[in-house]
Amino acid sequence: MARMKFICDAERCIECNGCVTACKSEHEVPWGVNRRRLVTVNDGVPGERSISVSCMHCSDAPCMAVCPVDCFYKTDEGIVLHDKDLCIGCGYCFYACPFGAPQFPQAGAFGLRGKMDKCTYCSGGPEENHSAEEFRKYGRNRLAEGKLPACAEMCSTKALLAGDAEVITKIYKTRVVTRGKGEEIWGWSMAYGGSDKLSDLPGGKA
Amino acid sequence: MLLTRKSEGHAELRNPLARAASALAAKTIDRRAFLKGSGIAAGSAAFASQLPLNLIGEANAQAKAAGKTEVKRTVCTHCSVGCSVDAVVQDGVWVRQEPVFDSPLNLGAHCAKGASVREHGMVEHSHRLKYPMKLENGKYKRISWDQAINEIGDKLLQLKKDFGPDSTFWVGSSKHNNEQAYLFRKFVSMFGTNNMDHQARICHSTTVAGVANTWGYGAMTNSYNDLQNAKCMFFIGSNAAEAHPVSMLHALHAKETGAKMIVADPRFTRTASKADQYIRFRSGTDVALLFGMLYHIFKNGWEDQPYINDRVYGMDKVREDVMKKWTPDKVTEVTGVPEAEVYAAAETMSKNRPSTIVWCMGQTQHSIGNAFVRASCILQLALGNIGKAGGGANIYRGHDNVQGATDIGPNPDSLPGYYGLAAGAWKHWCRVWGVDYEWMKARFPSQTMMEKSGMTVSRWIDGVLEKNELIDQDSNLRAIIYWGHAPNSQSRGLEMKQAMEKVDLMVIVDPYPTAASAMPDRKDGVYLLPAATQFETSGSVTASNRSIQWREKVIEPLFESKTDHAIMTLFAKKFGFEREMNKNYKMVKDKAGTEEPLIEDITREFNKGSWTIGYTGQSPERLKAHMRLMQHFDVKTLRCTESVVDKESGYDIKGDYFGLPWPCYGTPEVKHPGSPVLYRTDLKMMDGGGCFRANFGVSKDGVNLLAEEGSFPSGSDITTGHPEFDHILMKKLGWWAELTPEEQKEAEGKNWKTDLSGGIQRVCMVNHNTHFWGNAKARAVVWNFPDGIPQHREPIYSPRPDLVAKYPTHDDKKAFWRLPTLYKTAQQKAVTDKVAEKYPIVLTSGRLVEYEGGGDETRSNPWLAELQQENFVEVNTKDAENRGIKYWDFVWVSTPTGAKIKVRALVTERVGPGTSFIPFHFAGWWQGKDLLDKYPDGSAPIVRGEAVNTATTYGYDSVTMMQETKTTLCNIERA
Amino acid sequence: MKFLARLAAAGAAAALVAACTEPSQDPARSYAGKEDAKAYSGDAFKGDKAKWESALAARSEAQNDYGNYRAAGKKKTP
Repeated sequence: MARMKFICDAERCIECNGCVTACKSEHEVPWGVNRRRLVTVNDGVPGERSISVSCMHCSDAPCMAVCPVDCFYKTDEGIVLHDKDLCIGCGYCFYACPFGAPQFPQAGAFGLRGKMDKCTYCSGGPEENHSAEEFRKYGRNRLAEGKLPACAEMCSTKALLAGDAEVITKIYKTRVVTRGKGEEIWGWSMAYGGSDKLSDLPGGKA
Repeated sequence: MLLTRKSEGHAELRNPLARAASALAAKTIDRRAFLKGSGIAAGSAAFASQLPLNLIGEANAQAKAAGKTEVKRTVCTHCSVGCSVDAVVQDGVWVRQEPVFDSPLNLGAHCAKGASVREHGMVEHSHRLKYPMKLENGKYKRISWDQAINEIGDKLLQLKKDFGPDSTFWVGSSKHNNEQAYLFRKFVSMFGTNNMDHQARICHSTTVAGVANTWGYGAMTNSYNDLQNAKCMFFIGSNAAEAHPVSMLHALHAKETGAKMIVADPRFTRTASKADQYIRFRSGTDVALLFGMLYHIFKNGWEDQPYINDRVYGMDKVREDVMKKWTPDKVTEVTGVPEAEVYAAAETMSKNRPSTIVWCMGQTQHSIGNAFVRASCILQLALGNIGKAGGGANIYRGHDNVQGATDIGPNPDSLPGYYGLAAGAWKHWCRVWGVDYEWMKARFPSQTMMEKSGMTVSRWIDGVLEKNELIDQDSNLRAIIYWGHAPNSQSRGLEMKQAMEKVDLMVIVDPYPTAASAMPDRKDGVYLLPAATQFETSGSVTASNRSIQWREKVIEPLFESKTDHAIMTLFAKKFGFEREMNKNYKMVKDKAGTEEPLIEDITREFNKGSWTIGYTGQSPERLKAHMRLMQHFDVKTLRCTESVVDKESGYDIKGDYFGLPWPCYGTPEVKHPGSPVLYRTDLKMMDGGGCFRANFGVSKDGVNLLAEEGSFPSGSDITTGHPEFDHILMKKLGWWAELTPEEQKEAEGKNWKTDLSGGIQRVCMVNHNTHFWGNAKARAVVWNFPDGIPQHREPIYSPRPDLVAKYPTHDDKKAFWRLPTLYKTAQQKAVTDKVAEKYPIVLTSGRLVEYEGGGDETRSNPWLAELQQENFVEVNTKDAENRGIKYWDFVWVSTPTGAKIKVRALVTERVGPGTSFIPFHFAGWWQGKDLLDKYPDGSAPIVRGEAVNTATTYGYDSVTMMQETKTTLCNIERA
Repeated sequence: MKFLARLAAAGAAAALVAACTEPSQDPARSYAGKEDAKAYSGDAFKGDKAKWESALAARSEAQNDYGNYRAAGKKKTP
């Protein structure tokens, strides 16, 4: 079974924000809500690295575990989605998430939290595929069109990879073997368990 | 683990996006109603072109059912990489964009700007200039196109009558497509002046002049793709990761396959963070650094002696100069770089060949930029890297079509194709245009003015403000027309505002009102005309690598905007030369019924005349076929090696390089494949081979300037150096008979540049594998430049008065591009006034990935605007600490001009102590004040900020008038 | 129709899980929201999961600059 995952190659990411705008533009995500964002460490000094972060669609997703109204579900492909009609905007998932993925748009005049919004892996939500309702609540459903998330497809240096875990680890492996370094996959163990080292993963041995 | 969450906090601080998210209560922009319901059908059609074959049938069926959903292939309009975009258009509305994995240039990849281009098509919440406007009593008022053309036209005709056509200045655009840029040159010529320019002046003019004078053409010699063939990449003055992000796809691929990467820059940029070696050096000392490297190359015998012997003139003299002047101690004194670092870079470049050099604005925007770029050329010539795949001088251009506009657009010193302005050049183009030379001459005040280079966009303000008796034309400038050009990209903002207030007339033709609409304090005399973007017309665009791509029209011009060629036609009618200007074009009507020339006819016209640079073979049919079949071109070579026939045109692309990178010599029928790597002698002419140009005579002071015996394009019938071809040489060699009778008739009395039949080019390259432009040596010594051998000279505003004494700038110039220009006087005054003590920090400027150029367009795009909401100055931790400045405090940056600009402080190690950096894309604030209410209603950009160029200082390149914006001085204080 | 699609998909998923050695990582947690249709249930793939998966697999290759996605595209065009 296909397991959809993200890999961001820190050796390649140049912090260009292509992924961020691709996401924003594709889903019409309002200002202040960032389904995807860039994180940079050691900025301005040798060792500077950037990483593009969004919901990682964890194997054992903490957000699902803490949700008091059980609005999360996981698709056959391992994508973590939620039903906004059920979400009460409590924010528990935000505190549980190790990646800071859940976002809360402002709703109403008193700054109350709106319903949670996050990366859908470009696969919409629990509304009819491609319906106006689905687009309004969750954004576009590229997966149902046979396409991968816009962020990864448009990445300027192909640092951000999306797709079936087996396929993208293979792509990543080609690079690691070629360049002889950078086999750590940021966030992998936290999201999917196991190791961050490519060589420890199934099929990852050089 | 390399990256830990602990560091995220740090990152959030530094990332304005994260700050915005937490600081401002998330204000939502309404989703667009028409998009809500349009998801389904648009999606189905979009993947039709990219699905595996077995699915295409079904997808097509769906598209049909959904009605008018189309996919238009266009090219991003921001930087010069040339990324393809598939635009999904539903019922005339641009609803989505899809990556074009088939493009050999970008393989589907986009940066923030490219990923957001769909936003151009938005109507709701648009910040576009929507209809013609006129400033009345200090307020912009809507007027009709008729009224606008009539009033502006009357005023310009009046100025022409009273003060002569040279009293106007026309700033054209690198955002025009090739056809419009070319037409703009023709249009302003017919108005009767050479006072026109565009962004290339302040972008790569020093490169164009310096590089062309070294070996032939002033363009990028290789391509972004060709980095994949390099074994070492040396970036100096280029922050490609922000300015040309998708080029890094090729650079990082090359690095993975073993290429070494060196970055030299005063800032530790995002590009530097990817390098194997980073060299921090003082801004404005490139000659010292490059010649410091050359010192080690010569000392260790790493130079390519056979190559130099065969193909380079004057390297011995350069060597003498380098060994005497650029010993390691001197290099360190000037640049601040330790000897070991310079040695390491020289060694890496030498021992990993082919090695390439990449430069950009960091080299060009200096008062001796022409010397910097030549020092880079000399380094590459010494290493034998020019004319080699994987080598070359990879000069990254800025705007999407700045290369094309430089080649055939509005340049003050040349007609299209670098023909210059001499009588012969005018006669050549008059023949192409089908107008009488005498008629053309009569459009100008005199033949002298017709052949005299115009003023430059970097100095138009002095054309207004300078004393009349000191300028080299009759009248001062009295009208300024900004046609697709931001004002905040030019230096000396304080004086620009004065100039804007002094002229009789300001006209801004642009999709956005630009900062020019808000800068001056005027009550009247300003007109704004809405121009369409490149997504609202079709035409060709030249990427930095010289590949030419064809854009399909995505949508109709929005609001009341018109295409640039339609607006030129309206004015030409008013001025009374429309018939002459559009003589060779079929006229078509836009949606409002306005006449405009058929774009393809303009392409065919410049095909017919641009023999010098091989803009002749790229017919619209060939270019369109390439766009449809782009998946067949190889990523590393850009070549299509198999036979593939385009269904629509029946054209077979076999052998072509993608986009027919110029020079694509001869007529389209000759089928020259284009030249992805210039001056390659290991290929035949008809495979894109070549050699250095014989443009400077056959000998200099008794030394041979032609290539030595045995150095020639592969297979050439002439196996040694030779001069360029004309009808006489053709006859002498007995090749004349190979021309057809029709060709002979046309070529009689002509040379390879002026023979409109293309017969001379055809016979030389097809029949004899010989380069008709001659076969010469590149010049390490350019004797016609102020410094034949590049010399270090301190910037006008130098932080090192002690070194000014040792390395002073040039003498003042009296009439330089029609204007007196100060060098020593300005530099000495700065020393006398102790400017370096009062303003102890070097100020440099550059790009951010989210914005482009003056930024009016990108700062109006919500997705980009959200990412960079305020302008800032990068200031080193130590300098900040000394001044009590904390992260993201407001600070005042002041400069010797007396200007003070208010920006945020980005306290960082990116810049070293004593250096600061401000991005140049911002405008809309004026010395601390937001100008929002001065913009026309609803058209101000979302993000406004202080323009760095409000504060930049005097200083111009000694050959091209490039402004010195990469090195000046400032002080920074807490606000 | 939605129900039918769900039924077909569930069958396909069960068969695939059985064939896969990877243990299920889904937490034992109930979901209280609306049922979502399968990605391949729409007009584009009409419930053909294999076809959908092969489309995605091909698309994934476009992210591989060492691969031959574009070369594969060449052969498709007659």
